[in-house]
Amino acid sequence: MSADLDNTVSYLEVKKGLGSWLYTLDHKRIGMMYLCGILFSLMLGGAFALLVRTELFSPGMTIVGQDWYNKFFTLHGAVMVFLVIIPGIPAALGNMVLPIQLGAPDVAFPKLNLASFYLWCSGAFLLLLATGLGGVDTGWTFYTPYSIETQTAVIPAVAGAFLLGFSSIFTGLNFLVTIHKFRPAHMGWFQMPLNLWALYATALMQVLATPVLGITLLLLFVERFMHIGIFDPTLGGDPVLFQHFFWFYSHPAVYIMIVPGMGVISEMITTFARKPIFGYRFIAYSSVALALFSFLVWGHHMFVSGQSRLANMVFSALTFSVGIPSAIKVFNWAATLYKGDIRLDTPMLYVLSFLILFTIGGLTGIFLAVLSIDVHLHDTYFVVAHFHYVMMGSTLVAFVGALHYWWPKLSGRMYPETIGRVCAWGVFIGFNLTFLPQFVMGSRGMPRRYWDYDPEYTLYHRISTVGAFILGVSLFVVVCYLAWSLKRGKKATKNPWGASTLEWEAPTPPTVFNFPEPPPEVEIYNYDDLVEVPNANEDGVTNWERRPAADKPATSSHH
Amino acid sequence: MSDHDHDHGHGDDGHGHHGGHGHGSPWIQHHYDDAQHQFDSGKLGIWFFLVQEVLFFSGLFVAYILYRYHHPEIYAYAHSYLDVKWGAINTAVLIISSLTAAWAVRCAQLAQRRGLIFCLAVTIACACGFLGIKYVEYSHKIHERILFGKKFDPCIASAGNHLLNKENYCPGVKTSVVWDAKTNKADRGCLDAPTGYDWDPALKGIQGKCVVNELTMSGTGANRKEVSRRPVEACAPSPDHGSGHGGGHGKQTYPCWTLEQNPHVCPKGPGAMVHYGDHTSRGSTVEIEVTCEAVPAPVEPKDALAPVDGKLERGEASFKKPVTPSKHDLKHEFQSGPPPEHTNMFFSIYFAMTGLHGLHVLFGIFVYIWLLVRAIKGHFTPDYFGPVDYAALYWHLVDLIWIFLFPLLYLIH
Amino acid sequence: MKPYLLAFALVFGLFAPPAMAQPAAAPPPAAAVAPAAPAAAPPAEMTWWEKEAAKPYVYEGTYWLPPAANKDAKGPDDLFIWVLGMSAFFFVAITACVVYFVIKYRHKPGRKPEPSPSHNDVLEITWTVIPTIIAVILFVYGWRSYISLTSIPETRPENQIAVTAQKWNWSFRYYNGVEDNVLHVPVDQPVKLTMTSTDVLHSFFVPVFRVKQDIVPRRFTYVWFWPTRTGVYRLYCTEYCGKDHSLMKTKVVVHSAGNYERYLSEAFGKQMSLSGAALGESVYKKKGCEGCHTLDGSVRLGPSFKGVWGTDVKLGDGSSVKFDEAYVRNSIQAPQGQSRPGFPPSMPVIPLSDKEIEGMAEFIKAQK
Repeated sequence: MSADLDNTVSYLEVKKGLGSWLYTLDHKRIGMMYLCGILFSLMLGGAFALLVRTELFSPGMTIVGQDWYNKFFTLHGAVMVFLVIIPGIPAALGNMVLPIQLGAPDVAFPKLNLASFYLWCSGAFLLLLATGLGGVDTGWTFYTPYSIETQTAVIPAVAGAFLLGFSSIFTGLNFLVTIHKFRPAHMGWFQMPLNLWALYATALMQVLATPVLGITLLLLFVERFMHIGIFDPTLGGDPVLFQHFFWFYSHPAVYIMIVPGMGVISEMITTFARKPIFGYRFIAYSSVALALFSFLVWGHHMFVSGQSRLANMVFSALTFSVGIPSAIKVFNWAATLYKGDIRLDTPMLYVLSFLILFTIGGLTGIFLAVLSIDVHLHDTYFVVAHFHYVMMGSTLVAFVGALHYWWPKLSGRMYPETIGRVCAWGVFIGFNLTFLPQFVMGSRGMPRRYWDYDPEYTLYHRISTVGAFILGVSLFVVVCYLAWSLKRGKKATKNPWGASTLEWEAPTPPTVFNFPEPPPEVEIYNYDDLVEVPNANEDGVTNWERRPAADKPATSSHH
Repeated sequence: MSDHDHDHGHGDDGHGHHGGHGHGSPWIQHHYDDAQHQFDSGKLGIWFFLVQEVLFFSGLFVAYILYRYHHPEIYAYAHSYLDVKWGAINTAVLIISSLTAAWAVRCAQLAQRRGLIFCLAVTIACACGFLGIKYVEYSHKIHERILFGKKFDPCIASAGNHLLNKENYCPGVKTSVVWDAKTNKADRGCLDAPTGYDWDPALKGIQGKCVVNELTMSGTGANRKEVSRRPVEACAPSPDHGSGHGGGHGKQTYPCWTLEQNPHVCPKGPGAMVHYGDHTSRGSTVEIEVTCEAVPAPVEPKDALAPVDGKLERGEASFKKPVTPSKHDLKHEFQSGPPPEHTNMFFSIYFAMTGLHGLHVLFGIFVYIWLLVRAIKGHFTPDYFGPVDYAALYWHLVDLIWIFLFPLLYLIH
Repeated sequence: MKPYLLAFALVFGLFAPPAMAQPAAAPPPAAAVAPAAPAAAPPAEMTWWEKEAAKPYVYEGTYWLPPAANKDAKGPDDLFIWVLGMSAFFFVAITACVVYFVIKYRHKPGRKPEPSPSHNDVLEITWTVIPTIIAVILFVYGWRSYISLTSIPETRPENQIAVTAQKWNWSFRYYNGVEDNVLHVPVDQPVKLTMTSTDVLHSFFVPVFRVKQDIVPRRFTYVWFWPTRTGVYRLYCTEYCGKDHSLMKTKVVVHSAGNYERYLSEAFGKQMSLSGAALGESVYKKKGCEGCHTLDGSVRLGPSFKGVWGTDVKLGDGSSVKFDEAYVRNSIQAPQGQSRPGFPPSMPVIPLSDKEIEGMAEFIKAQK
């Protein structure tokens, strides 16, 4: 199908009709379809979150009883984790951008890529089916024995998550092979953009960790269906074994979430500071270090589960060590801003939000790594706040920022800048209002997954609920104006931000095979060549052009 | 401008792009430079996939190791329910199929179309043979209720009796009879004797009254002791057998024997016949103790001159014609003692591991059928044989996993 | 010291207004002891220990942490403040850096970025090594305080309490046989709890003691503490266990030593003296029956007890039995055999003595 397509026309225009999208092998179209699904799931998961927070506005029953509340928080977690945040940046943005950054015409296995998308759709369908069949009330973590005996629709939910796992595995596999085999001759490992290092580390984790989730969910499925007994204590099984299996995947999973976020932050921060990223090699190495270390710390979710004290000691020590690469990255990013030329477009606002929110998220993780403090804080709202800071405040913020960053290139349109900045502030303020009070609630003893709570926490919950609505409305408006801009936004130029990586040399939007002519060789993170040309098109959008090589002045040191 | 590096390793060689002219085979995709690029990428891809498959199975291997470490007695006892003969045949079959799979790659590389088709077909045949043998093993186990979870109950399976012998007492299955002195007949007994099984006719004992007590226990291990006991009625309804226990043993917990089955005896005289934990629904605090109590001799028949049925002696009930235990039964004679508690866990792991492996064999069959069709159509050339190679790699992994499963499950004890 | 003060000032300054406003804004506390109890008439006469447990809870802790009532709480509390101070310091430092750089190096037309190094190995090593040192220190202190928090010393048999967690009820059995669903402990002595669950995972959490331990079915887990102040504190289940997870809470009453002994003997006497419907009512409350079976006719997970005595009950297999003593006995001892259409098969087996079962029957009979 692909060989006969016209490689001079934008990939969005080259063929029309629903079939051309559903049967496409073009990684950009697949990424765009993922994006639509993911943003829809974000709104769905967000709706569940707002239902949860509304119920928590007052102690006791506010809008629904316990059964529904338990289902709302479970579905919020399952939809957000499995449909939004884990696929998020790799499936939507990675698919669209990775081959272009390599100068390749597509990923290594385009049909597998489409299959991954359909697996995502099937998994999403099954989760929606579970919702329709009355929901699931086990928590997104599906702990046994409760998940074995509850009468809710666990089986479709678990089957959906299983398929989503394979979608993730195949995407990761695709990216690994593409990065190994489709780099141009001049692009060695240390000439790759940091986004690709991040996607590579993520893909490693996807391929190595997700199968363990697969077998865990398969065993849970068989346990519910046929009472195989492996996790059921009445049959001789061990419920804590489920936790080990589950967290062996789910801890690397949270790094699958954050590492691509770090990758796109690295790209954006260097572009908007107009200077090379500080400590390129350290950031690259730390991405891979995070990927490897992430496999060693799963037990820190289980400090009070009955695990031995020796195991707790080992996991606590390893957990501290896994925090160090993240700290290195934050320092490097901050140093990138030093003596830069900083422009506060919307993506940069998200980058700055990320820096602050990821710092809070990472620091609060330290509380939880200290064994005796974790005994007090485990399964309280402190943990809820911590993981929202890293999963939402960091990963989702990075995702939304990166979406704005690459939006011009991928859609050919600019989003509206003013409202973009307003929403970025809305997200930052709403997010902090929602989750800062939760730290205090947690350390004061408020347990999580509680429908009812003691009255002394009421004020904190109310602040949190108000913040959640501000956050939700801001994100909703973002999705709305992005959709609006597809038809009504200003036309984008080739390189509106003056970025230095290869994808900005492709046309806006790229052709079906990304480059109509062989892509040039560019030196990434070198901004000396780029000259700002304001009002470069009929909509007044800025463009940045590369000066010819002969006029290049002495370059600043690069790696 | 585009550098082709024909290094075959998984190296980080740069490849140029925008080749795409003059590929030999029509199966070389457009975004690859050439056949070698496509082959290398596919090879790397299949290796990553295999690594992922290993991790997929790893959870089960970890579960196996953990359960074996914590409950070695279950493994020592239960693995003899598996038939090593079938396992060994399966191993041989898979090894042969791995050979033909690899040979098929060679045939494809050398453009030997007939050899390729033959090898692919033999691979499929061996894989089907593997699944056929698995079917035989599984159906045997289903028949004998040697299954997982609550369904592990060879003692009550109608044909599961080969595991019982004089010494082997399944928990809950024990023989005794309540003799009704007025009618001079066995009235009812303590146990659900498996139908069709015949006790050793040399077994003599006394007919006894079967008393069932429910004990409330406390503590664990060495500190375990009885807190209280209360008598319960034999044949009282079950707390848990209501749910899917099948086979007409619906609602009984306390072993219950009926007149339609053979009356049996207390082989060793009065005393505790069996004592087992009623764990299935009542936590670890309740145990059942079945005791055989001697009862007075039955009343002599009224008519002293009436012939006494030669087979009916004191302590002996009428038996069906005794059956010589088969070699199959004798093979398991060495089993002594009841199955350890939670022997079902061995089978949970067994069915999970062999079941998942069998599913992978099935997927492999589908893949090889697809390859066979393509081979017949002549798609594979020395320039393009990637799918055959990748499928062979997958098949080798499936074989390798079986080679681990076989000794772990069938052989070591 | 300084980071501690800085941290304290920072966070207190940031969050003091909400904290000050909070007591005024909080609505009056709801019924304190038995949240799931239906709105029945108050018991005729509460014992002194029940009155003690029913006292409303007043938060007296610091801004971040509840009051510490366990001897070994000092370790985690001190560490918490240190980590808070250190986190506040790094947060302020990083945020200040970022904000300062953004302001100082903000793009102005005509401005170009000044040359600056794009890597500095010394800096990288420094900001790798310093966090590593901090991490090691925190790990060591965390580990040590964790060890003392979880090393169970010798405890007198009188201070060893068996805990049974079930959906959604706590049951504590004291050494002399007293059963209660409020945890009574003596002050200034080590107390050891041996815990198990009858159904799913639960978790024992008392914020003021800083202890938490998951409760696993068919296993025993242990927790210990050394209460340092008398009073009434909250006890939560903190591992999600189903519908009424958030209602599965109770109180911890820390008595002076004399009062603890008094409680044990008087409660024992009271327990032994109960029979018939009064015993049934006590079982109904203490064993968590009221979580699923109401007395006022409303249906929860299980049928209500109101007016059911003597009626015909349809069972899942189509047969019908009368609601009498035998039915009550069978339902308690073998609940899965009595499944009724319209209700999930969730009732656990709860070991009761014959006397208690008779009492339950009497009690249900009395519910008209």
